[in-house]
Amino acid sequence: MKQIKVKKMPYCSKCGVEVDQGVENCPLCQLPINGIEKDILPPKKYPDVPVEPPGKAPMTTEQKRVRAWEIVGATLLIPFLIVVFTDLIVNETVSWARFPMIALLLTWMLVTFPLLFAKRPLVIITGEVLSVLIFLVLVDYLHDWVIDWFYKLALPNLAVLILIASAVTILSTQAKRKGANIAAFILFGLGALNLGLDLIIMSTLAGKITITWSLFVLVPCFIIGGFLLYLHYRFKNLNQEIKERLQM
Amino acid sequence: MLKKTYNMHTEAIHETEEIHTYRLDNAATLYSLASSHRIPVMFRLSASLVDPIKISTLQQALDNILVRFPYYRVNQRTGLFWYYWKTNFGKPKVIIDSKYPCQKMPIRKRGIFPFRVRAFKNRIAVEFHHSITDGTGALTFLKALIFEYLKLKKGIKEEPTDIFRPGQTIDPEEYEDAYKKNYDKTYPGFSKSSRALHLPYKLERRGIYNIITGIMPVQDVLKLTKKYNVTLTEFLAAVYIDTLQEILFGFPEKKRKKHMKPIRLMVPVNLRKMFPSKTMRNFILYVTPGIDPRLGHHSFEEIIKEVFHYMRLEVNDKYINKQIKRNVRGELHPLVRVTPIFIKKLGARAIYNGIGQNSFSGVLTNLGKITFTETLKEDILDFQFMPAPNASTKTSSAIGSYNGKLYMNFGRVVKETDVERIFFSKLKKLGVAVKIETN
Repeated sequence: MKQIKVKKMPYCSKCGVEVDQGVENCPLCQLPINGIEKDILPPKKYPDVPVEPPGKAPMTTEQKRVRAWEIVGATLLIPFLIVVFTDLIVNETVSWARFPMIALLLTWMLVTFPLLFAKRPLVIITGEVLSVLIFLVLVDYLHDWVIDWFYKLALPNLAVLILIASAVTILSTQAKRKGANIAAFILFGLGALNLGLDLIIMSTLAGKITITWSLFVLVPCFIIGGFLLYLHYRFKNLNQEIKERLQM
Repeated sequence: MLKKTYNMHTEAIHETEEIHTYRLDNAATLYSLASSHRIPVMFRLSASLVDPIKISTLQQALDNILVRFPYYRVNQRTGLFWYYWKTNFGKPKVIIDSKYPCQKMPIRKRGIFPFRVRAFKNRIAVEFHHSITDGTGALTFLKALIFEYLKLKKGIKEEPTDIFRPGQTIDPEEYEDAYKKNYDKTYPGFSKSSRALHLPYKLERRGIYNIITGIMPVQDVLKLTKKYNVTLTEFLAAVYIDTLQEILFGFPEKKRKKHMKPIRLMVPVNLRKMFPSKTMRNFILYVTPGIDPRLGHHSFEEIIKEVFHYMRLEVNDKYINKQIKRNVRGELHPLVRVTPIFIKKLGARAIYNGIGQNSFSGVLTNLGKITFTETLKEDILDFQFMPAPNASTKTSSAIGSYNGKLYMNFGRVVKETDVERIFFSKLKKLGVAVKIETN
């Protein structure tokens, strides 16, 4: 303090306020202070480091996912226990309750993979497919204690669905320019899926390979899809143009 | 008698140590419910001594004086319907100061005191959670702490009467909930005021609190207050309002129109002067002088006039009683009383903003002239008062004067220094020599 009294204090030429010796910029307007003596350090009024207030650290995304997984699990457990106990009380055995039970289990499995393995798409896809397969086997088996329609219907249908979904995904992600072509791929996929389902289901029921209703889906899907592809690859500025026309 | 009047239960566990549990006062309840990282409701008082602080001596002084303040030697507990204070037998530790003062304190964590004592170089600071006391209580505590510290360090024999000393008996009135004492259910309530201008600045990351201290000779300011024939608080409030007006009118037209709302300041009033009380807990309310910029640009003289007359009208026991009535009535309502605390907490933020934060654009709290024992005056360089971080007004200020110097602390949770820059430039133009310090 005594030293400060002797020397004339530096001041900001804009705000007119005095500052401590050695302060480089005005704390108010950030303008450099004229004629500061470079070798003097300004007196420290506060420590340089903030003392972090004690308290909850914000959750990381990872922690949030685990928390969400926990909450979903706990929430699904409630209807699970209710159906089990209702069945037990009424029928003194687990009879009809096994179906809602496995449905709830499936839901839980479907949620578990994306939440716990968020950054590993291969694990997620494999996990989800396996979950659905196991669910279907169980539904088939628990119904009459024999596995019958799973092999004839469920498995082939699921295989077709997975194949087509993968094909659409790969085509869409690989496309250099995205727009109407994505819609076209999805439409082709839908048409193909219907064809596959028709073949599998009707063949199983009729005992021979036939195509029936799926043509009514397949044909329009391919026509519209083809038209979309034509638009997409023939008129390259279509997206831009639609955006321009539709601007609000 | 004690139990009935002050809602305090006392139970002896040793001959010397007693467990107290007592209810929060009206302001404390709201502060406790609303407190969060963004609204830490922590304010601060500090004093710089001539010599560097010796931590061990300061710790000893703190241990010694704490018994004189049993109402601060507590920890907040959660009941089913309300929070309450319970004696905390732990020892508060002196901690190092932080770059950013007044940060959140988890007061309901076991063993936590609702205040902290910090030291840095030659400065002692106390930061209080507003739910335990107001500026008056904190100043009494800080003075007692400094006196005990200097006594231990210098071996003074003197025992002043105006400073709390460890051996004194505690007046039960220091515990009193003065709001409830002055509550009269026949008074009419206080009407809610409209939304005020809030400066549209983006908040900084949580935990950042920028301080700008303006130090000026009291005489320079008093000359001006004499010229305008107003009090020091009124004068500085007028400069503050003028500053906010200048910022508002400096916005581009669209932005200005959007934010064209009344400019009001929150000016806390120490009610002990109006309603005699020795309470060491909260006993403040606030008035809100201001202008309405929708009526056009106000000259400085017009603002001074508005503030002057407003303060004459509002700062009196009858007007304040209306506010006490409104606040305490809410707390005593049977429906509110049977609502569990966790439900109360959900609505508390809305009430806190509704009856408070939304209706003012800035804070100006003045602790007035601070004095200390005459013989030890030379040992203390300054006393400073720092406002609690405020996320709605963004910038708020606190004033205190000591030994011929006026210390005005602006605390802000944004980057922009517009308020401080314009405020101090105005003072400078009016002829006040201002020195600026910052963290």
